[in-house]
Amino acid sequence: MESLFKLTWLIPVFPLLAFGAIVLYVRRWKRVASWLAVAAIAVSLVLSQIVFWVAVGTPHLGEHPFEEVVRWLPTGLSAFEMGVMVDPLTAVMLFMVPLVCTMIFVYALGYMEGDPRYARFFAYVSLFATGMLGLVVANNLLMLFIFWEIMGLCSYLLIGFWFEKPSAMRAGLKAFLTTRVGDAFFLLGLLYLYSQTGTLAFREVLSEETLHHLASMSVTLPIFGTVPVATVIALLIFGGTVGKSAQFPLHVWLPDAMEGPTPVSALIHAATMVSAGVYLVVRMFPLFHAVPHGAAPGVVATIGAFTALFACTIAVAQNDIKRVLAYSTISQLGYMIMALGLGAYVAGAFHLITHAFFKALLFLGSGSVILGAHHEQDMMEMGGLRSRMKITFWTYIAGTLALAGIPPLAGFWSKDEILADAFNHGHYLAWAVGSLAAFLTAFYMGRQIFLVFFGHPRSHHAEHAKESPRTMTYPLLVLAVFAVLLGFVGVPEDFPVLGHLLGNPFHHFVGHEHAATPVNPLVMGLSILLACAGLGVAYLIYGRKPLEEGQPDPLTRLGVVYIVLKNKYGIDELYQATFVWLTIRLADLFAVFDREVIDRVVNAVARGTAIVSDGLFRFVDAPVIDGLVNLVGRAGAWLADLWGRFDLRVIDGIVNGVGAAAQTLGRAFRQVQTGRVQSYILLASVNVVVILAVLYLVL
Amino acid sequence: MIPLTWYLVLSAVLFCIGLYGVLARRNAIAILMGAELMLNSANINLAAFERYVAAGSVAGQVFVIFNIAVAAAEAAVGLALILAIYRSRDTVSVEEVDLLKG
Amino acid sequence: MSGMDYVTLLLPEILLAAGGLAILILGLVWRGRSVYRPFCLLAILVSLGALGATVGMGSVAVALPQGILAVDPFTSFFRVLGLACAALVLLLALGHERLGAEFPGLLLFAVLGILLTAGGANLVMVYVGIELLSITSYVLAGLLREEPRSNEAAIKYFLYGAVAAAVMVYGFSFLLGLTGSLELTGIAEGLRAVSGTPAALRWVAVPAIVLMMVGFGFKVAAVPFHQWSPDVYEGAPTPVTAFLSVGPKAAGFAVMARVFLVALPALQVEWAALLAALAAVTMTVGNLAALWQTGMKRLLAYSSIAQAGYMLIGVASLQVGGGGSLAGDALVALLVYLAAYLLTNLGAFAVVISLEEATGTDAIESYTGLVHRAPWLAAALVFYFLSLVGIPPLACFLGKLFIFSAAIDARLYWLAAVGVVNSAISLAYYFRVVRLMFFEPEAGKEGAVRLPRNLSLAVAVTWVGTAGLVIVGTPVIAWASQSAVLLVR
Repeated sequence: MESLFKLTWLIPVFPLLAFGAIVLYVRRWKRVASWLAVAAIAVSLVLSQIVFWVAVGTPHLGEHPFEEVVRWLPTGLSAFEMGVMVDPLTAVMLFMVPLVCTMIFVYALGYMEGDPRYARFFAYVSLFATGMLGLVVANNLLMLFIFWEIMGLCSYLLIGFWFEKPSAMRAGLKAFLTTRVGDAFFLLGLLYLYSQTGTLAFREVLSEETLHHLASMSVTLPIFGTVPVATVIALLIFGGTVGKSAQFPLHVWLPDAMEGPTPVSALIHAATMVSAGVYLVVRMFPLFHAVPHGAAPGVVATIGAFTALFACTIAVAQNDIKRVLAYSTISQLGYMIMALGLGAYVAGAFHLITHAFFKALLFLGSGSVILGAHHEQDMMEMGGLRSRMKITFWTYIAGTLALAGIPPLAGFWSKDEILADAFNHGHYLAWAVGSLAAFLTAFYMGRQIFLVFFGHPRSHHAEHAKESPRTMTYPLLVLAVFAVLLGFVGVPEDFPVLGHLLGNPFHHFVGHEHAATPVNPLVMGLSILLACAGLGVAYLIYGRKPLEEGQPDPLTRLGVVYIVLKNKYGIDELYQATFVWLTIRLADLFAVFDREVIDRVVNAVARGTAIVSDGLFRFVDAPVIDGLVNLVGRAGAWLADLWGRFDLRVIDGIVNGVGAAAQTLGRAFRQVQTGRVQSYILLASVNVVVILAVLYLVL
Repeated sequence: MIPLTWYLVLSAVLFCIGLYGVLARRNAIAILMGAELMLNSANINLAAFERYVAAGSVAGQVFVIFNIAVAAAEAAVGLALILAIYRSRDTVSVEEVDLLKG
Repeated sequence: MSGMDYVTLLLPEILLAAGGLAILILGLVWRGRSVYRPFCLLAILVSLGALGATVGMGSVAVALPQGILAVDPFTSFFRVLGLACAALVLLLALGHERLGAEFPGLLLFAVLGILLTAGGANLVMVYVGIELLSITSYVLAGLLREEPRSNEAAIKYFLYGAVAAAVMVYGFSFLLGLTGSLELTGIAEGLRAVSGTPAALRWVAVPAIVLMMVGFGFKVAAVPFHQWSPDVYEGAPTPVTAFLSVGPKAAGFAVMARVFLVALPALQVEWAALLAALAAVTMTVGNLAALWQTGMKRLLAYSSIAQAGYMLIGVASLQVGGGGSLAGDALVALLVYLAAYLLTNLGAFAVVISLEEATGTDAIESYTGLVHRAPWLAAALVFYFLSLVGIPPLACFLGKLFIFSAAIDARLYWLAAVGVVNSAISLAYYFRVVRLMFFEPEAGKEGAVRLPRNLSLAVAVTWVGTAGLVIVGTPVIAWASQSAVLLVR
């Protein structure tokens, strides 16, 4: 039986072959291309199901994971190796990823119908699936990183798929660049880890002695003081997660990524890219908790909890059907990250899996709604779709109840496990934040349901909506089944009746060495109550008296609060003011600098060179000092100009600001490139003197 | 006997005069002459060090000979290039040779 | 050692010199454009023959008397690199009859300069090698005599280079004064002898190192000795630019590694600090200046300045402490990076040359909508760019990985961080081109770009190398490790 594990090698290969075949041979035959992609992912699905069930049937897989390695790159002492590993975590990911991917691929057959770049789309998503599957089966961090980057590249291509829209182009680039900020930290963490341990294989990195070694060493950093090496590495690696899984403050790319086609949104936000970040933390879990009472889990939990609450408050006031789901995703990812930071390994992993199913369902459902409503995305323009799109409606209800945490759907069990774990271990603040977020989640999902499906159509588009084709509705049904039933694999064992009957197989399989958290009736009761309350409030506001066409959102009566939430905390305005203020100050500063310092420098240099020779002086003055004056003096003006012109948001602003500063500097370097060889030689000579002076000062 | 320092000072002065010529003159041929002066200052250094520090080895002298040969080759190529630019632009002033910049 | 032994050991150099001389003389006899191609093919044959001779020699380690040349695996590595570079550049240039018969001849001599520089175990040889490479490069840059831009490139390159060389020799002379020797091993001994007088080291050796770095920095186009390179790259004939972006850099890094490791271990704190600073500045200036370029050759000039910055990280990490293994790893990293960079950059230039032949310009605008006119070419260029950024699993990713881990091993954490940030910045300008090629509607339909056979061969070879280096990394790294270990010993 266990020789079947060797099939793991092949799982990422088929989508890759499909990608190659589509790009090279069948670009022109779009039907062939799309079915090729679907067939490839289906083969991967079958293979992964085999691997999964074999894994389930293998005793003690947790202690002795299957691992197979081929030598790849020898580097001095040790070797980088290419290998696959199947442990319970990999197995459950293999259960989830190809299944959700297949559903999304099938759905895309219908959704992308008529797109001029139909074949290209399937090539890209195939490559994307390769990235995610390779990442899941990798047995070491280097391979994981490689597949991680392949996914980053695909996200750029897919989010910007409709590149005729400038906004889509920008969103794609933003996703790529923002996640690469996180990746830079990840890569540093990787290199640091390698330099300390000489290995990147999970089994060796996460072994007791390596972890102990890493935890016992410490390194002194500026500002932070002396920190255990394990903490530094864990947090650097976590940087990658913050980028990929859209945690605050690198979450900005995710809402914009809605510019991509809806199947891509589902793919990125449910099954692949964002789960990759969480998967990384789950995978490296022992490293995060290697230092007793270390700082890493606290940082992780804080960022997760903050993101969970922060994002779901924003979701409350969004009107774009996909943007609500986007912020919801950010918030749910925050949940998982929080759980992992608090040490709830199984709960975090469980929520990762269940969330993938019902969030994929919701995204695909929203895509069906959008297509049905003639590409209308504003919920205020919808309404009354219940009778017009029956299958979409019922499956969407299933997804909503699962996300809201209504028993006995999937989301209830996983979310409740996180909350119970937090409460039982005395993390009351985290529990409170999580519960509040749960209430808000139920509310915004209720709001969405009532706005989209109930009442009367509020626009021409909604009136003429019709159900989507079968390639789209069938995947919805399949995913809905999982959204309803999947939670039963993780019912706590001490839950009355059910627990005894089902026996919590998920926990036994994935986290047998972690103690199961007992059911807490108080937490569970409150969580159900809050979920129902959220839906109830939504009903009171939007359901009892449906909105009419042109009627404003009742939430506007919240006044300032609504505006604040609608504008994502108004940080745009607030920080724009701050930035403008800062820019003016900076410009002033540069002006003063220009007057006081540069003038003197010019004079001094001029006088100095005049003594040497008049000719030398004239030469220096014209190209070089001019260049310097321009370089420094104008930098202020450029900054003011650039920063004034760009619409600055908080974190966007920083990203843009760095970009603008880089461009400004780049332009300054061009000014120095005068085209005169003598000025080059002069600059080099001056620099030699500077280098010597600095060397003597430093050494 | 003249102390080593004198040679070193001479070569340093020569180096500086050469550099000054490179930086201050506009005529490409004059700049080339400046560079040759710098090269020769290194030659003086090499010969002096050879005599005072590394007496007995001929390494310094060999280097000087090679240096003179290389300098000749360099001057030949340089003059050819200057001639070419004079043909195409009617000038040998490096100030006016700035088509390529940015 | 008998005379025959020398002939065998120096066979690649002898072949190059003989081939170059033959082509130059024959070029005087048979003039005209029709002989250009045969001469280029002859030169390719000569360089491939020399390559075969190098490979056939296997792993030898012989120092010629007086340290004139060290024929060791390190030299062999650069022989292979230089000769492969020559063959590829000649392949790229097959369609450029205007260059005349001097081109293949001079190129062989320039490559001979690389080989001598890499093997030079004596400052005299190092100097002669560098000058042979430089002087031929000046002429190569100015080969298009009737074109003002080519002339200008040559004269700038020449004036800057002449001054840099003079400064470098001036630096060399102080090492002779301090140690009484010009042999690299002799200098190391001499420095150990005077280590008792720190004043001598501080006030003579440190300036000497800085002055030498002017010459080396000029060869690799390291900031602040880089300003000649964008102008020269832009003005020189494009195949020559392709050579200049690779050949002199290889020679410069070879000589830096050998001189610093063999002759100056006593001063490693000083040169490591100097090189680390230069590396950081070089990467940053190169990448930032590239953001604003409108011409492809200039863009690649700044990009290759930035690439030199990454490689300087490798040199800065060459610290001898810790039993030599640290320096060994850093040197392996440098060699791997050089090989990866050579393949990738020459590939990029192959694309640039074919575009230039089709459209007559290297403006970045002319790349608009390239995917419709020449999908394969566009795809190839994207791959080279991704490699230059360091996206896995392409060639330069391997180099970057090695270089950054070498820096971390040498405790240059900040430098590794600057490097990583810089590769993120570089994405911006590479992707500007990618966006134009793929995502802009066509500006003017000019029909398909025809790819001559020699260029498609070059693209294929470099593409396979770029994609394959990581996949079959084992032999490459093993080879680099062998080349590095013997030198450090």
